[in-house]
Amino acid sequence: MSGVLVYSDRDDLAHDLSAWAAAQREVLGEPTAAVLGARAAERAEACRAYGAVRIHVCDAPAVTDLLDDAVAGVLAELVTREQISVVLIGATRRGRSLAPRLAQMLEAGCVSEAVELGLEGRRIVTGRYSLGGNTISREWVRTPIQIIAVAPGTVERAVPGAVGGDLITFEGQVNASRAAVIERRDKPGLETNIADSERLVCVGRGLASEEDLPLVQDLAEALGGEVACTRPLSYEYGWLPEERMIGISGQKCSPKLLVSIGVSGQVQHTVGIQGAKTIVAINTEKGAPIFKQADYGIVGDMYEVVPLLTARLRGRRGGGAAMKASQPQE
Amino acid sequence: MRIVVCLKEVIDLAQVRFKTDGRTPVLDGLPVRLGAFEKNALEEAIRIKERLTEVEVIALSAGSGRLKESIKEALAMGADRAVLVLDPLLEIADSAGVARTLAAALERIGSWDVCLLGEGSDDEYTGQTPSRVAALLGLPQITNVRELDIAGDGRVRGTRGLEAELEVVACDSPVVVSVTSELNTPRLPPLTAILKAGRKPVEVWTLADLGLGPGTVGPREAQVEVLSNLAPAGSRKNQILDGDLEAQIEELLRSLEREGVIS
Repeated sequence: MSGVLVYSDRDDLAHDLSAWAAAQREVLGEPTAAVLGARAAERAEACRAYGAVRIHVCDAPAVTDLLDDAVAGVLAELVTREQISVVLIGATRRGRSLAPRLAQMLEAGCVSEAVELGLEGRRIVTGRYSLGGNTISREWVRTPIQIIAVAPGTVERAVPGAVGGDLITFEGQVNASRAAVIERRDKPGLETNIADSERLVCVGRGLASEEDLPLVQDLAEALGGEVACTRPLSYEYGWLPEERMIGISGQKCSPKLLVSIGVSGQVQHTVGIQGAKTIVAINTEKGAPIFKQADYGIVGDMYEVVPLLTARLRGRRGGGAAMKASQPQE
Repeated sequence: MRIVVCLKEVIDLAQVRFKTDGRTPVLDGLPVRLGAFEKNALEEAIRIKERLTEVEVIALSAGSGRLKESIKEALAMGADRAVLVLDPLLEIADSAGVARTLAAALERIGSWDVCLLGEGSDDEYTGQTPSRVAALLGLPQITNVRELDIAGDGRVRGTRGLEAELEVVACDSPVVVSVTSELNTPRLPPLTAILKAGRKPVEVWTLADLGLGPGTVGPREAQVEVLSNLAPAGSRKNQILDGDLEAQIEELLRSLEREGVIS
């Protein structure tokens, strides 16, 4: 193999993937990176501490908006010119639709959201959710060029190392998209980052009414964590913003602790909680599938269990025995 | 104006069962239906048709012979006609093969303004088809669209849901757009529409009609080789606590403390 190119519209993901590629250099060849868009030079400078030997920089106006066709054009030219055999892309929303566009331009195979990434011999083997999240499809891309979009949190968080890597200004052709971004606005209700939270209280349809939300918010506060939810509570009832929704079409989380309350445990949801270290489930139905996904289960009415659990947690904190005060996250 | 909606038939995932090992899925004989995201795309096309004059909505799908039956739902919802590409090879084709087929069919349909697809399919959710179709046709793509506005002159504005922000992208037609489920709630067609759906035109093409075949679409052309596709091995403790509620909570807190997941 003749080298890896790393790209993401999210810099921290690019750093993580760059460090991963650098660690596999003996098998995969030289790690390189591309930084595109606004403030590209400055961001490329920050990228130098993560192992890429060359960092291609492009801040042409045509890629400022990071539209898929314009970005794919630049990356395709880099792949061809640098004889790249593996492209690793951060699987953000943009990355997920960029990767197959680039793959098609290069007649390459593509994995668009790998949640497992590893080497088996000299092959990159990926895992992705399949059959609606019921299974994990382990696969390898057998075209000469491989395009792999990697989900956040799949590889280890990179720590900056020695600063190296040459910055190279992209001199090739940049074709602007026929499309244009005409407006950007913040998503309503965006106030939290479920994907990075260490403790989560995830509530499902067992919650009878929106007025009962303080019950779970209190537990989250006592744990020093955040409230998350299943799809119905966000999409159907609108009780919580979609940024708090966990599942195949929402957030994937990897907290130390997830307390799942009144959640039946449909696979479309549980696919998003598999990264949790420890899962506690509270549900009235002994046969609920969520218990198969849990480390600890309490079969009971959330309206009885949750207040008691919250009170006991607060009591521990009040008692102060070997306790660190933990504040709710912003 | 002409809008082509690409639809995929998916198996009913709620009915997936596993062999006695608990990990190997059994898919034989499961019923198929149209995918959910594609219905959002179709619903939007029909709403545009209801809002503007002279809009034709074509339902396009590539797959197995069973589509002849499942496509009736799209016609009942309000598509004017359907184009099906049917070939056994398509049942085992990867997303590159399906994209190649759809792109060739879109070219054969001829002039159209907007091609709508779901952002991903219910079953695999890889979301590759919209981008691959757009790349094959050399057209811009607007993906992850949750609000769509198409003006009578063919100007398309799509609001994309990104992680932290909404991004409004404008583009003249033709353009490829992929949509998410926030876009709308697909209608349930009334019985009269279901009965009439059988009389709407359905054109059936083969891969050969599109100049495609075993050398371009099919399992041996698959770009990605699947090594295994199994349910994850259970690694959870599955410990159901017992005793009275107070005792259960005490035990839970001790366990969580021991694991170092509460401070």
